[in-house]
Amino acid sequence: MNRPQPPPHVTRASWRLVALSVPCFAAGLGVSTALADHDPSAPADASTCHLYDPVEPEVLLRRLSLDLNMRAPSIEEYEALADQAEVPEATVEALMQTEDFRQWARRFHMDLFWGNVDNVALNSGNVKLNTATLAGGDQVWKSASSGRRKKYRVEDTVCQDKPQTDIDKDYVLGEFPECEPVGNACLEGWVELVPYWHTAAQGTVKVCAAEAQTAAQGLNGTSVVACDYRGANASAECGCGPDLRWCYTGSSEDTILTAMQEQLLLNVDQVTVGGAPYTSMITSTTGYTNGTLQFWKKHLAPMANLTKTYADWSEGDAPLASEPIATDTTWVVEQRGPQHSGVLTENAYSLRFATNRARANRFRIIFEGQYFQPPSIEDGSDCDPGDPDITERCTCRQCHQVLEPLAASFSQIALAGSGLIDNLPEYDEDCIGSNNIACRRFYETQEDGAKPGWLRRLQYADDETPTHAAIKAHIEAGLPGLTEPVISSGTFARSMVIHLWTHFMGRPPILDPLDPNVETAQIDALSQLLRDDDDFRGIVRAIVSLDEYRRSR
Amino acid sequence: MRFVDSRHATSLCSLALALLLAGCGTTTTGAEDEGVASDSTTTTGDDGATEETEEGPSITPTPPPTKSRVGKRMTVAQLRASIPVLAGPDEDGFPITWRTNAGTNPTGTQMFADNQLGPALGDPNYIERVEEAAIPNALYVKLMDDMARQVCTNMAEADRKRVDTDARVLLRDTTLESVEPADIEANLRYLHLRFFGERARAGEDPTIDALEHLFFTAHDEAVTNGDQVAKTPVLEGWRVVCIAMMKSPEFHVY
Repeated sequence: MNRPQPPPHVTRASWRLVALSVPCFAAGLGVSTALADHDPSAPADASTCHLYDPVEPEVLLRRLSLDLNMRAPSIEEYEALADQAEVPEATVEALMQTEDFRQWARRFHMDLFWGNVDNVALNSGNVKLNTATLAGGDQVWKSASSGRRKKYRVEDTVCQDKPQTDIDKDYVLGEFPECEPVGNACLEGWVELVPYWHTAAQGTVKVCAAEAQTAAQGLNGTSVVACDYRGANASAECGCGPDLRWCYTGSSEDTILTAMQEQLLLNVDQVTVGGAPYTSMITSTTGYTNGTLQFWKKHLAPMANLTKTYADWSEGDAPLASEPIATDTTWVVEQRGPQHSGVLTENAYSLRFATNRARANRFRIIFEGQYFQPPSIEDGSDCDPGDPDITERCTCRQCHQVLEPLAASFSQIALAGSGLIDNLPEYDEDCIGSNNIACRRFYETQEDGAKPGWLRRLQYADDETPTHAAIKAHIEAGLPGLTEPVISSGTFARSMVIHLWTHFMGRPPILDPLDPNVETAQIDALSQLLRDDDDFRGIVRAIVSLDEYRRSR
Repeated sequence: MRFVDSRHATSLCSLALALLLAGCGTTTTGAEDEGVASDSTTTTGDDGATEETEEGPSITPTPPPTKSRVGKRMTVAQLRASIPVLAGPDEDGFPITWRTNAGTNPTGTQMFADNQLGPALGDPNYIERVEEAAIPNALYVKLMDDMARQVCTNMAEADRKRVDTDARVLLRDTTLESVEPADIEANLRYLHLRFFGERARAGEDPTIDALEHLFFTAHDEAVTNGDQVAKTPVLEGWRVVCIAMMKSPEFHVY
């Protein structure tokens, strides 16, 4: 047996550098060595330069498969190319019709939208349930709020391990429960019911009877409060409602947040593989919903304390089902009002970017390709460093004169929320100097603030300065006033082409006109293609067909 | 205990890693790589004409084509999806991938998962990590070494247990016993395509030669010293080759 002699420890990559160096050096100087087609089956030929050759079909297939389908090709896919001089266009098309392509497109857009809201708190503990272990070992659902437990039982404790009917044989599920003195506390028993997060097949759970109350109204002192609205936790006569629909659990909150991410990505699917125009991603009033989100919007979102996420249903939202089923995860199309604008008003985008400035800044980065950078020097001329108007304050104004009008486009959506607030009264005199939580959330309450009593979003919407006038105009135009110019000017197309180019090429395009390799022409052509066709697959196809993508170097 | 794959696979990959670290993400042109800028004896004037220098006659430079795509390191998501494709199934038909348990038990959690090493490898969750750097840093190289050892060990074991010899993945074009150079070369060429997505050059190919040497070194160590993880010296040779290939820049950069 003849064994091979040990070769020098050299990799294919370093070998290529050696093999390519002489002819490419010559080619670079214009000596007669031509850039010949590279035949991978032939032994290495030292007389030609392969630096700018198209890569071998197998190499291109691997590139395409990893870039478009996020996975390496199988050996069968490679071997199918055995007699091919290049990757057939049908193969490229097939790669763009797969489930993996849809998943890649989702990931590409997640890179832009950062649409994970798993860390968002939809509410605090005062309308949340968690479990405790009863003396007998069973789990029982009880309020997660110490204050609410005290309100129900005098002390911060849980109900007794007995059915409520053992305390009150005539007890009817949902009523205010009688209790028995236990130490300083007065404890009720438990009841069994099917909670909203269970299907009927999943069966019942045990819940403390106080938490399972279903009364529509309760008393907070002498005031009547609605049990299906925020503030209900102040009343011992308010429980979590029928099937516990007015209270969150940790897992139900997680389910809702996961559904929000999926909701955003369904919008992406629609424009990447669903055939809708790509620009409709930021303009469409069509959206997606399921039972989980409808249930949340109808029953749970109104319970959130106003210091938390605000997502109340508004007339500008799609109508809700009369009795949404929380466990129904089937997605259906919904038609939203004209205030909505593609993914920009979806829950995940609004909650991921909790302020209008953040929303506008992310929009500007994604769709305008523009980034704010802090000024290198402080700006101290003709300005007040303590000006409450950030568009006039020294230094700050350099960015905020641009940002604030853009942010105003999003101002119909609540800060730290995803609910529309365009139906709130523009001015509320009672809020001036008020400590009311709703006033503090939405209105300027400071008497010496800018426009006391006015909605905060309208504080600088006037004609006092050109920036204020721009803010006013953006509020009046809403999101269409932001998206339409970006689309019609070609900025949307150019920005998305640059994102895609950067993704596929592994580097941004060279746009410096002084660079001899400037790629402005390619970007212009691709941008025009996207403007003309408004087709995501089409622009992906065009980029992966470029020589720049298919060459070795 | 010294494992043969540690020494040989690492020696093969050390230079490759250095090249990876040096080359990944750069956008230099071929001409720059070859030292044209520093060694050229010509200069170009504002009008593009070439001036004569003391060293030689004037030649008109050929402008290089515009810059091309640069090599990218596979992302965590790509690795997560690709390893089962490349490693094939185990003897029971479950996909082999990097799992929390060393065996091929399909119930083990994927190490690329969000609750395992996905975050350490840079997989974005779009909250704390909003973009994946996808660079071959030291942690990545270390963890990919771990991944390659586990996956390749399981591939070798799956092939050993497979009843259907046509279904072998790691030893598809050879046998469990063969040390014939022709068989070894044929299988290496197959693995070159499987792992790197590139056909080895016809005739002499330095990568094939290097891997062939690696195979025999690992095999001989196993025969001579019993220094092996796989069940047989031949399988140990292929396991070590597999590890070297899975650690190679050509595997991770595309």
